[in-house]
Amino acid sequence: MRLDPIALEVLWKRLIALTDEAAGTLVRSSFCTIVRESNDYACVLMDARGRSVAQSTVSVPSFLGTLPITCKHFLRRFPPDSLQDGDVLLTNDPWLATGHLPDMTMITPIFYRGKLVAFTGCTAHSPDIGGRIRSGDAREVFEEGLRLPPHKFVAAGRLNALIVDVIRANVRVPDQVLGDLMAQVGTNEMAGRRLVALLDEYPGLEFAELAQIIQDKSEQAIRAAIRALPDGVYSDEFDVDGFDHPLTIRCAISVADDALTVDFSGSSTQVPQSINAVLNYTYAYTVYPIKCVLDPRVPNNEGCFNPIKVWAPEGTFLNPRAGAGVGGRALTGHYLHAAVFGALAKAVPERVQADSGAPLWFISPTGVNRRGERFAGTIFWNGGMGASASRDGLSATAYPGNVSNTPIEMIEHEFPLRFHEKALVVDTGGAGRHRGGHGQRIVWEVVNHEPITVSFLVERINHPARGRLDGRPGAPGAVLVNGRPLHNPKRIVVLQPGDVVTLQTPGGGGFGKPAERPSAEIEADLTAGELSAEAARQEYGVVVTAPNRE
Amino acid sequence: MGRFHFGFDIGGTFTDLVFVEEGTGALLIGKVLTTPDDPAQAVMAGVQDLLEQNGLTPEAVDGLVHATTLTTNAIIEKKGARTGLITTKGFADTLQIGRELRYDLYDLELEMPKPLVPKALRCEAAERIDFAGEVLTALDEADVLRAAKVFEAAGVQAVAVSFLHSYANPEHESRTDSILRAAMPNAMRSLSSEICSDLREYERTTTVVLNAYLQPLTARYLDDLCHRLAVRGFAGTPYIMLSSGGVATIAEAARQPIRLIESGPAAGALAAAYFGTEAGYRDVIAFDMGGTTAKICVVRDGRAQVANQFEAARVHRFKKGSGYPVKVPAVDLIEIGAGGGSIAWIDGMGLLKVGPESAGARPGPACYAQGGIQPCVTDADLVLGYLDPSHFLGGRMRLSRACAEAAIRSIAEPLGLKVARAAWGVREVVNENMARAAQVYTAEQGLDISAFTLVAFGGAGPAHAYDVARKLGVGRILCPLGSGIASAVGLLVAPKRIDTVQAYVTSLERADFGRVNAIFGDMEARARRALSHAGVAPDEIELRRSAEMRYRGQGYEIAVPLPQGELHEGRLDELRRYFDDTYRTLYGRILPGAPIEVINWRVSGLQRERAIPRPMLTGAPGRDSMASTSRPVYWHDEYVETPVYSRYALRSRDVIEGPALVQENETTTAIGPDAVLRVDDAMNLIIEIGGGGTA
Repeated sequence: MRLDPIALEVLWKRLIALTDEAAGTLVRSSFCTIVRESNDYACVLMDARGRSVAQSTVSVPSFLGTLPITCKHFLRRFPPDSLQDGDVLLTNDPWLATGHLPDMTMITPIFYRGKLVAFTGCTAHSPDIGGRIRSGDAREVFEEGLRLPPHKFVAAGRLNALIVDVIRANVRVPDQVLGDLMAQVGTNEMAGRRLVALLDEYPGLEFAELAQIIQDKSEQAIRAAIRALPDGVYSDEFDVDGFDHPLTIRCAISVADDALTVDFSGSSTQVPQSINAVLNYTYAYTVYPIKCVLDPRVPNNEGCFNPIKVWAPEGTFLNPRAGAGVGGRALTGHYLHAAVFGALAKAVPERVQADSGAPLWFISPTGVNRRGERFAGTIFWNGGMGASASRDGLSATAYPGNVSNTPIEMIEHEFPLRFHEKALVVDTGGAGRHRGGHGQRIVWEVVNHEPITVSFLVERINHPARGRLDGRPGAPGAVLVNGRPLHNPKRIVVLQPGDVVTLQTPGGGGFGKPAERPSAEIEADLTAGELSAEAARQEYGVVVTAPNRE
Repeated sequence: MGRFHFGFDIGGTFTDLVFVEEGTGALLIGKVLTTPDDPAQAVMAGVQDLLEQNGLTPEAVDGLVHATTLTTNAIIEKKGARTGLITTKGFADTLQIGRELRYDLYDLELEMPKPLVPKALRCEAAERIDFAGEVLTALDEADVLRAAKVFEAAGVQAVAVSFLHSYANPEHESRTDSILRAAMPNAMRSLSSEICSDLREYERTTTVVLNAYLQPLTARYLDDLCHRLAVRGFAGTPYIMLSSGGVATIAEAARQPIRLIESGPAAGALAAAYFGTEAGYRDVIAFDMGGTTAKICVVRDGRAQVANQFEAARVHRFKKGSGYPVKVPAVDLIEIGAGGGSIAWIDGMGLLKVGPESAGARPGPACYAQGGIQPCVTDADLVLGYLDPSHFLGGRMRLSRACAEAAIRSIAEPLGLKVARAAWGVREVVNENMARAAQVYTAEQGLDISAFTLVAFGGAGPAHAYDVARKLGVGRILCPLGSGIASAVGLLVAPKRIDTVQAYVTSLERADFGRVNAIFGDMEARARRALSHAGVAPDEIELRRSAEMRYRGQGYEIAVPLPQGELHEGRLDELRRYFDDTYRTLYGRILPGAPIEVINWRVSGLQRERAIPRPMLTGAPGRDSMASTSRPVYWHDEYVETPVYSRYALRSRDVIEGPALVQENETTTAIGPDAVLRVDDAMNLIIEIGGGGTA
C-alpha cells in the first residue's frame, strides 16, 4: 500500500477528526461537570494490537498514553479470539488505567468484515464513584470508592446486569453514573462506525498499515527532536510538602542518541495517604512536559511515546503498590513538570519554564445548608505560572493542570460561603530576567447556620516554586483560618459559622538573573501594579523615586 | 424607478453596497475599498457612484441597514477609549484573573489577552449585595467619588461599573451611575446590570468593559455617518445590524456597541437562511469562504442559530478561549483558517498542510503577481483550471498562471509529485480541513446534516462547495446570485430584534412564579418599547421567551424556549417538558426526576417575518457577454475538458450536467462529474450531487 503525502494527510486528519467527533459526542452526552468544563476525558483510536493511532485534540494531560496501556491489559485478559462484535470492555482500576477510581476507561473492539481491526476507547471522569469525600488523607484505595476490575460491561451486545447493579448500589447518583457509562458505550460505537465507513470508502486500505505509517512518522519526528538534544544524563531533585512530612522527587533524564529515559529512582517511599501517583499517571505527567519541549505539534499516538521511557521503582510514591491511596494523585503528579524542566534546563534552558505554583488547589466543602439540603462539590483555583526564557509567567494560571475556576457568583449560589476578596498578590511571582506569574489571595467566610466540613487539597505551603537559571522562587502558598495558619491543611477540617478562611496560592518561579531584567520592564511592572516599590529595590536594586506613587 | 432599500457592509477590505427595489426586487450592487480611518468616506463615495450610475436620488431610498467591522477592529487594534472600571471591594482583579484556563495545552509560551483596563484604572467601592439581591453592605459613595477623581486625572472617557450579583439587584450600580454622571459629566458610562444582566462575574465584567471601551468611538462614528447621510439627502432612519442577526436603531447601537461586534458575519448567516428558505430549504449550512477564512454556520428551520456568548479579539484567531468572552447573543458560527489566500506548506513529517497562515490581499497568492511566492489555494484553483486567469473579479484582475505553477512546484518537488497532483493536493487538504471542522462542530450540536443544503458564497465558496459537500455527505448545494455581496443582502432581510436577559437563579420546583412573571413582564415591556421605538407596528412584534437551565450540579446551561402566558406552579410539568425536549435534542437523553435549575431568563423581541422583495440582479455588467466555452479542469485524478458557462447567460430552469463550471464576476461555481445543476426561478444555482442522494 503506497500513500502519497496528500492521501496520508487526508487520512490522518480523518482519524483525528473521528476521535474529535467522538469527543464531541461524549462531552455532549456527559452529565459530569468536569468532563464538560475541564475537558477531563480522552477519546482514542487504537490498532488491533492496542497501540494508539489517534487521540482527541482537547483533553487534560492525565490521559496521555494511558488508554493504550489499559487496552494492552485488556488484551492480556481477553485475547483477540475471545472478543466479538458487540463487546465493550470497562475498568477503573487505578493501576491498570489512569491512576484514580473516578476515571472510567472503556474500550470497544471494532470488527471489519469479520476481522478485529481496531479498538476505539474513551476515558471520562465519572460524576461519582462512591467512597468518602475527595481528600488527601484516605489511607487506602478501598476508602476511595468502587473499583471495577477489567470486565465485559457489554458482551456481544448484552449489558452485564450484575455490574450495573453493583454500580447502582455503590454510587450516590446512580442514574448519572450509568447514564455517562452508556454515553461512553455510544461514543466508542460512533467512532467505530466512522472507521468502518472510512474503510468502506477506501477499498484496499489496510488499517494496520496506515496505523503503522502514522506511528512510524510520529516516532521519527520525536526521535529527531530527541537527537537534537545533547546526549547526557540530566538530573534534578527537590522536596515537596507531602502529607505530614516532606517527600523527595528525584529524577534523572538520560538522552542517548534518539531515545530518552526518565528515571525517578531515589524518590520517596509511598505514603499511607492518598497522594500517591500510580505509574500510569506519573508517566502521563512526565511525557506531557517532555512533549511540550520536544515537539508539541506531532499529533498524539503510540509513535510519539515509543522513544520515551519513564520509570519509578515500585513502592515509591510515584509508583505505589496496589492498595495505596491514590485519590489525591494530582497533588503529586502536578509536580513532575518541575522535575522534567529542572533536569532539561541543563540541556536546553531556553525551552523550559521555571516551576509553576502548581499543583492545582482545590477545596471540597460539604454540609447541610439552611434549607436542610446537603451540599458537596469541588472548587478549583490556580497559582502562578513559572517564567521562561522568553516571557513572564501568567498570573493565577499554572502549568500543568488546566482546570478553570468556578465563578464567585456561582459558588455563593451553591455553597454557604461568602467571598470578601479574590485578588492577585503582587510580588508573589519570583523575580528574574523574566518574572514568575503571581498567585492570588482568596478570602471567604462561612455563612451557614451550622458548621461545615472542608477538605483542602493544597500544596507548596512549605516548598515554593523554584526559579530557574538564577531566577528567584515564587512565594509559597498559605491557608489561614481566622488569621492563623492551619497546622496541616490537608486534613479535613470543620469550620464554624463566621470563620474566615484566607487562601493564598503559590506564585511561579522567575527565570534568569533579576539583574538582567531591563529597567523598562521593571518600570512597566511598577506602573501596572505587578511589582511593589519595595520589591523593586530588594529584588532588582531599583530605587523608585517617582513622587506620585503611594 | 420606485423606492429602494439600502444596505452596506463595511468589511476589513471592501465595503459592499446594495440597493433593492421595493416591489420588483431589482438589485443594484457596488463594491469599494474600505477607508479604515474614516469608514463613512467609502460609504459616501460608493453610494454616490451607485446613485449616479443608476440615475437615482437619495429621496428614492427608504430603509437603510448597515453592518461594520469598526468595533471588532477597534478591539483588535486596541483603539478604544481610555476606560475606567469600578468593582466591588476585593474584586478589581477579576478582569485580569479571568477563568484561569490555558487555551492551548502544549504552548509553553502562551499569551493571554491583556485586560483592557490597567490596574491603576480599576477602582473598588465598598458595597455588597448577595445572590438573592439583598444589600449586605451599603454603597460607600465616597469610594465612587474617589474613583471619579482618579479617572478624571487619568483622562478616562468611559467608565464601566460591575458589582457582584448586580443582576439580582442593580441598585448600587444605578446609584454609582448617578454619582458619576454628576462627577464626570463628559464621560460615558456602562453598567453591567444593563449591558448583560447575567450570572458569572468575569464574563459580565469583560462584556461591560468592552462596551464602555467601544462607546465613545462608536457614538462618534455613527453621529458622523448619520450627519453625512442626512446632508446628502437620505431621509430614512438608519439601522444597524447586531451580532444576533437583528437590527437596532443608531441610538441603541451607540449605547450598546458591544452588540455590533459580529454584525458582518451575522448578515452572511442571515442571507444564507434567507436564500435557503426562499428556495424551499429551511435547514442549511451557511458556507462563506473568502480570502483568509471560511465561516460556517448552522441554520435550522430557516433561522440562523444564535449563541449567548462568543469571543472577541482572539490572540490566536483560530484558538477557542484566546479572546475576550462577550456575553451577548451572536449568530453561532465557526471560523476556519481556510480561504483563497491560505498558504500550503510541508510540515516536519513531510505532510502537505494548508493554512491557517494566509497571504492576505497583499502580496496575495502567487498568481496575483504582486510579489507573493508562496503557493496558495487560489494558485491551486488556477493551475487546476477552476479559475480563468482572464476573468478573475470580472476581468478586473489578470492572474498569472506561470507564477501559480512556479509556486505550486515549490511544494511539488520536495513531495515528489507532479505539479497538477500537488495542486490537487492543496485543494483536497483545504477542503478536508473545512469539512472536518464542520463535521466536529455539528457533532457537538448533535446534528445529522446529511439532509441539509450547503449555501455557498464568498469569493471562493462556490468553487469549493462541491468537494466540501461530498466530504460532509451533504447532497445539495445552493449558490445565490451575487456571491460576493451576499452578506449585504442579509442586511436587508434582517428583522428588527431586541434581546433582554435577567438572571434569577432558582430551582424550577421552588421558583417564585410571581417574580418570574414580573421579570418576563418587565423584559417584554422593554422589548415592545424598543421595537415600537424602532418603528415596528404592535401587531408585527413577536416575543419569544427562553431561559438558561440545567440539572442541579451541572456547570453548564442550555437555552430552553419557554411558553407564553402567566406561569404558575400548575404549569411545572409543562415547563419541565420544555427543558426535557431541548435536553434530549442536544444530548440524546434526560435524567427523569433530577432537579432542574434556572440561571438566566430571556426575552427576544422580533419583527415577524415579512414579505421581502426577492433580490434580482438586473443590468449587471457583462450580461450575455460571455459565451459558453470550455477548458481542461482537474477532477480528482485527471484533466477533463469541461464546459464553462456564464452565469449571466443562464436562464431559470436550465439544467446542466456536470462536470461544468459557471463563471460570474465575483466567483466561479464548480459542478462535479456526478452532479447536476439546475437554475431555479430566483436564479440560484441548485446543485444535486449523485442524482440527489448523498455522496
